Amino acid sequence: MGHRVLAIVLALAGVARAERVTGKLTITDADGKPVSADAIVYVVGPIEAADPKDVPKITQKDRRFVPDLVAVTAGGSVAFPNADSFLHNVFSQSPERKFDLGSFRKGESKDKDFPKPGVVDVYCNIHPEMAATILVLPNRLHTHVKPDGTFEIDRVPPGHWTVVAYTRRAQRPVSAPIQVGAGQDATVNLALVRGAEAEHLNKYGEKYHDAGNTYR
Amino acid sequence: MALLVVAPATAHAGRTFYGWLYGTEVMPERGAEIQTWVSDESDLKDEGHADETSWLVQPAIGITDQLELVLPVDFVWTKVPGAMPPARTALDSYGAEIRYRMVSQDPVDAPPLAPLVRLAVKRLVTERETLQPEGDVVVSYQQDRFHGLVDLGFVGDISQDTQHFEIHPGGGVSIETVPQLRFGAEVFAEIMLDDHAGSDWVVVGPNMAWSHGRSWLSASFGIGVYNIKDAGRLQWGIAF
Repeated sequence: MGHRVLAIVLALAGVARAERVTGKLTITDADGKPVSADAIVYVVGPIEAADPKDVPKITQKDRRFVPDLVAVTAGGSVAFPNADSFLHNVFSQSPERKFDLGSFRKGESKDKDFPKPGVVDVYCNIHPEMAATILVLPNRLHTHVKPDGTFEIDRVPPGHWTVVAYTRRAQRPVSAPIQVGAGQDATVNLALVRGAEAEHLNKYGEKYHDAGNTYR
Repeated sequence: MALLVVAPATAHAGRTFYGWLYGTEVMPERGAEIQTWVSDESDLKDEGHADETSWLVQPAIGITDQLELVLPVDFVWTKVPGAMPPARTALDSYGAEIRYRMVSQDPVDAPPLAPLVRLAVKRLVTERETLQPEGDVVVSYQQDRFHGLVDLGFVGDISQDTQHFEIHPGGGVSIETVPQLRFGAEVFAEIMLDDHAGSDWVVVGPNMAWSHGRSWLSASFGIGVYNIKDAGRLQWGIAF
């Protein structure tokens, strides 16, 4: 009983001391020109369980995944509703999480759980132009970058962590170490270079039959 | 008797790693696959026939992620000693079957032990008043590269005048040696439950399985250990 009380007190104290990480992310193309793209910034180090109520959606609409980049805490799920009037077949061949949701039509939705951290690329077996990425992260300390490039991650516990920024089609994610002190916010600025969409194969490991220059 | 099995590796539509045994995988929802097999039974000690080759074609459709509908059509060549003509080729049967996998197929969520139930009803074309109910209870066990499977099958011929029943027990193991290629062994038997007991037969032999993209194949060459010289089966399929 005493240990439970102590644990609760320590947890509350930890929450109370948790601070904020802020900063700005700049995304450019290979020529250095600024580009607008969805990006996620997250903190690596702390470990947290997933919130079962937090189930991000990737909607299939107009032959696109919307959004095409989401983050989920390891152990959580992502929903894949189909808003198009035709079939889609969502699948992933990423080693971190292989799955095949089969084909489903408008109004139907399927969930998939993601137990292990990693980067999971998701495609449609029918429409090669559809591509999305799911970041499966070890904690809930992640956020989408605002249109102006700024970001805020709340309730970061004090400690020495790493901040990572990720966008699809980036040559590589970027990261920076941060020191979050008790009662002090931390600020970090990051820059990403975005490239072209990599060609992918269908769920059988083959090229799409009608694939032209349709990759976004 | 030896049995040879060729089977596919990762998962699609009713594919099996064995020649004579049903698998525990089914198509994902709205998936479709054409499956087919060729079976050869040689020097069967049966009053009815000595040799038989069967070609079965069956489209499979995923109704849900765990339920599959299959529409088999079976063509058979049979050699009957003393008959005139001594051999015949016929459209033997057609029908419908369902295969229900009782656990998820998701590679993360699926438990190592996966049961599947198969139920089929076929019409025997050359015996117009006979229906052929079939069933299988299949249980597979997967651990890393090892795959083991037990299949208890049942076949009946039912008409107004006669009834005939058989059980088709079998089991096997399959080990992935390199990605997509597996080797193993299996045993399969057909046991009559009535006065056709003299037609029982048992084979044991090696099997192998291979998958490549949307295609897969499995094969088994069964060496006869009772009442038959040999019995092999080659299965393959292609998903759409």
